[in-house]
Amino acid sequence: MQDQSRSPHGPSTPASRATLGQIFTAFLSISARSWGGGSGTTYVMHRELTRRGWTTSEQFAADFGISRIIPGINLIAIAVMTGYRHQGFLGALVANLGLMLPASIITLILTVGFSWVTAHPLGEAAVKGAVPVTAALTFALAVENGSAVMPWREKRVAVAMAVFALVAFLLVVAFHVPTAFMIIGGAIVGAFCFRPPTAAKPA
Amino acid sequence: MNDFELFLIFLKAASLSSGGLQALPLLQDDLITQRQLLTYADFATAVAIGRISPGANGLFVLPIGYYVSGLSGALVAALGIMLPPFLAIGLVRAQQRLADRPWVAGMVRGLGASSVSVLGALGYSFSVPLTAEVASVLILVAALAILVATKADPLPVLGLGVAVAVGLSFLGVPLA
Repeated sequence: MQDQSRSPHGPSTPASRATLGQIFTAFLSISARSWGGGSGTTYVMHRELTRRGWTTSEQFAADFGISRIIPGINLIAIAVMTGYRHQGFLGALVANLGLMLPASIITLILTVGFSWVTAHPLGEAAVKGAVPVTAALTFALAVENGSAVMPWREKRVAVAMAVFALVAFLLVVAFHVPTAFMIIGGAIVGAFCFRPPTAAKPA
Repeated sequence: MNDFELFLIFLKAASLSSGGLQALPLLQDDLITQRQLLTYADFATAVAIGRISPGANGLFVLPIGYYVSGLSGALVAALGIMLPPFLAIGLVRAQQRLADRPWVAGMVRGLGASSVSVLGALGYSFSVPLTAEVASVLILVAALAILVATKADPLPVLGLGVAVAVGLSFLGVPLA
């Protein structure tokens, strides 16, 4: 068992600790600025949280995987996990509230105005323009996370992870294997095959 | 139906599903099949609103709540989806406690690798209907190139996509 001198909470505790106010305003801004029903939000959240040093790309990708297999809406779960790491339960609460508030108000306005907007050809065209950008945001996040989670210095593990990711992608796309199986499979395969060498630097 | 009962319906749907859209068949069973409170057309509109709305995925429950009982319905829908994600705290605590074990580090990497596949597959499923029109595919490719090459903020890229789509609709170019 290796046990280096680390923070008492281990490497999943972020380096710089955010205050409750910072967590709340960061998620308010993510919520108001991330359009496109979720995919855009994942992208903005990853960008904003890593930029602030509140999470690493590796941790974010792991949180994303976990959030897809536990009950409830996964982006709220990522916000809760991030907030909890910084400020415990209150951090989780303000992250959740921050993510929900602006988006809920905007969604209600959309609900009231929806038939009016889509009855207008310009509104319809605008929605059609947003869909390909949403798809692009999802691919861009896959590319960024893909390069971030790879342990490039451990060549064998990096190749194994790339092969696993490719096979998992093909199984989901071509054979419609439920994504939950791939995520649980990733956790199990990773526990056995993707371990860092014992003297590795902290993740 | 009172709002507390409606809250329990949303809480149940959110607790028994993962991700956003999985809650839909559960809500359909409660609100359409069993209680005939809403129609499939209401659900289709709600899902469409959820696809363009900002913030978390799964916000289609807000219009569904709104259609059932106005503002208070939307509020209990929001509360219903906000509660189950707190379960994730248990996993964060477990990871913090076990972080030094190599198999946990391996597991985090495995989750990361599978997340990349899941994101790729999600992008793929968004893209398939777009292949019906060349212009939609071109917007996707251009947006992806801008995002990956420049790490641009997504909001202006979204604005650009919408502006191009509106411009193309003036020129009569079809979009998927």
